[in-house]
Amino acid sequence: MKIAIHQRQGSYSDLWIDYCQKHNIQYKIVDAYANDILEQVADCDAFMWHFHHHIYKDCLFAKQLIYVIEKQMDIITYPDFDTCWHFDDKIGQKYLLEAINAPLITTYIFYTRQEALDWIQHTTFPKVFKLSCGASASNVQLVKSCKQAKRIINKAFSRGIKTFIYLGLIKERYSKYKLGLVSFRALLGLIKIWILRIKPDEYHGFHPKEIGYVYFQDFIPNNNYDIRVLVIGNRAIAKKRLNRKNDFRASGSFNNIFDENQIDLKYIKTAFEINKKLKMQSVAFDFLQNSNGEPLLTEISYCSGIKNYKNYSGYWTADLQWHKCKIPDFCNFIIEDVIAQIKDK
Amino acid sequence: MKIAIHHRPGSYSDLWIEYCQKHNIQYKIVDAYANNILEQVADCDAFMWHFHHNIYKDYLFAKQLIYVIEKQLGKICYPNHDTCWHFDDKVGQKYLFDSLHIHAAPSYIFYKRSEAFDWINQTSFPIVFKLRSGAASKNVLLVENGTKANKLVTKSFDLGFQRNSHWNRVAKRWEQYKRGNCTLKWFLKGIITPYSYKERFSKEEIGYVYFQDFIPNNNYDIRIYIIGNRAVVAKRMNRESDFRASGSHHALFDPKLIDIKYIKTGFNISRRLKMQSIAFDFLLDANDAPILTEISYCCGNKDYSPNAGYWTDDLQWHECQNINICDWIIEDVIEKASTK
Repeated sequence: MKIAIHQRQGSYSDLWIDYCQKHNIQYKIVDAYANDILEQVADCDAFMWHFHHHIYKDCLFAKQLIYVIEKQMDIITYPDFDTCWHFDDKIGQKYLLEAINAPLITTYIFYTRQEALDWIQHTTFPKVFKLSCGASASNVQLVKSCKQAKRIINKAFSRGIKTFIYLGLIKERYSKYKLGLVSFRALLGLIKIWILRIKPDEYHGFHPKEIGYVYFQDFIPNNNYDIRVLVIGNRAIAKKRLNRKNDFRASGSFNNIFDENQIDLKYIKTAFEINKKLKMQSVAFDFLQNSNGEPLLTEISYCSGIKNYKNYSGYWTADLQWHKCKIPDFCNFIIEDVIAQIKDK
Repeated sequence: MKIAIHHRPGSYSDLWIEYCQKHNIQYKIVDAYANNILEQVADCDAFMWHFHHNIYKDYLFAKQLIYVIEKQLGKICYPNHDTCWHFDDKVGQKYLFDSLHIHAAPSYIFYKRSEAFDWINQTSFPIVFKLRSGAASKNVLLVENGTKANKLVTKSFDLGFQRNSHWNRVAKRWEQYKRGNCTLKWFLKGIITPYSYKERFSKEEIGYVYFQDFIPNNNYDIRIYIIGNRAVVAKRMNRESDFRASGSHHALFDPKLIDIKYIKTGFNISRRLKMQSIAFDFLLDANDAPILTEISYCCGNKDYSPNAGYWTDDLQWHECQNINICDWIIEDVIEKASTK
């Protein structure tokens, strides 16, 4: 057995490589960006790549590459295509989650300016505006009035909307710095790029503007936190994410509660039920709740941040049993599932 | 049997609707752009949509919608996901051809400026530059030297490219006007009017550069369009003083002009790709073997002649008048839906 891993420091790959070394699993570091990537993976049983929505290169071709390796070369991949095709693509998620009757918050997409303008005349506000891409609450905005919605629509159907705004990124990184999640040097690096206006950096520089559509979601009031449930195979870990200060958004607030007693089992149950239909290798759900206390889904993702995984004190299995353990390292769960898939093949 | 059809006048849907009316097949016009499209197709057996690479809306979500309708709702789709996932995406096609060892013009993609510059320093010229999107030779350039290649790389990692460039359109119409393929009014209209609403909102192409080996000594290409086990073919002559044939609108349909090796290669590849319909663009390599440049799930009505006849996969030629490729497509869909 041999596993091809695309290495990116600070991503899941660090932990996968650790795992392989510890368990004597043969692995090979490959470069997904190389022109001969298919030759590189040809002698392997699996290909693992934690690709990232912030890295423009990954957005350009990761899904296509994975589809080819999985379907044409018949190599197990993580993520597989069913797991990742809708990653960082809320438009795709709308159709997918509606098709399986998941409890998705009512979502509206308009591909023409006129239809969007007609709709805002007779809808109620507030609504939540989102771009199709973006995580950690980036590109998400509360729209309180028809006038504000009209401004957004006009922009979406004229110049388009930038997905990365450096000032917003700096603000975000400053909050992370205050919480000790990034170094001062990392903060300074971003400020330097912004001030000097040097060429776009490797991560954020080349994302095209989002243009030609608008996406709105109903606003669900009285939620001052959301529940993030990450399901990997038959295990789930969950955390409660409190909203940012004076904000309706919880994602990316870094104000998390990991106490399992604070997580209602209904979220875990709903997450497992939805994934039975989605059949994803791993999926992170962001839940709010409606006025009847029922979980409502805002969006999904195949991966979740790894910075604070050591804070979890255990995990649930699909039978809703809680398993206390020291560090449920979900990257180990992922690679264990991939190894099991290879053996079953 | 009920077929959901997204209707766009001027597209395949005109002929699908005609077919349904003629053969008493129940059909329903649906709106793929509507928020309730999944409800609209729920009571149908198949969903058919001739989506187009130049319509920005289609580009935004057609592939995702089709994947969901096919895989989650279990409907027969035309095109299905295998048929369309790489449509108008030469980057995806590169990986697909490489994985199946298809004899295609070698292509090189760089996601980093410095890697592209390094490669240019040691490659030979001319080479062909392409954007991942674009049909009818749009966004395709011959690069004769390193300086020109470097400029393209710089632009790719700086301002990026617009898929629909105004001046490219003007140049194309000028060429058509010179050859008598369009009127002066049409040419002038191209200069003064901006891109239509449907094309204007295309995203820019940025952050990568794509080159393909130049295959010399080809003054035409062979376009084969395979639907199921039938193929229609055209020999497309290059544009005047140009290396590009696609979109020249100068096509020959005489079957005697088409070497059977193209048809054979086309069917061979088609079997492996398992697409419902597939258009191949072939050139000839130095050994006189057909070499593939790109593929598409659909083709324009100038790429085949309705009165020329067609080949079947046993390599037999069938004389036939009034060929209608859209009928073939819908017949295949009906067959699949009824055997499901």
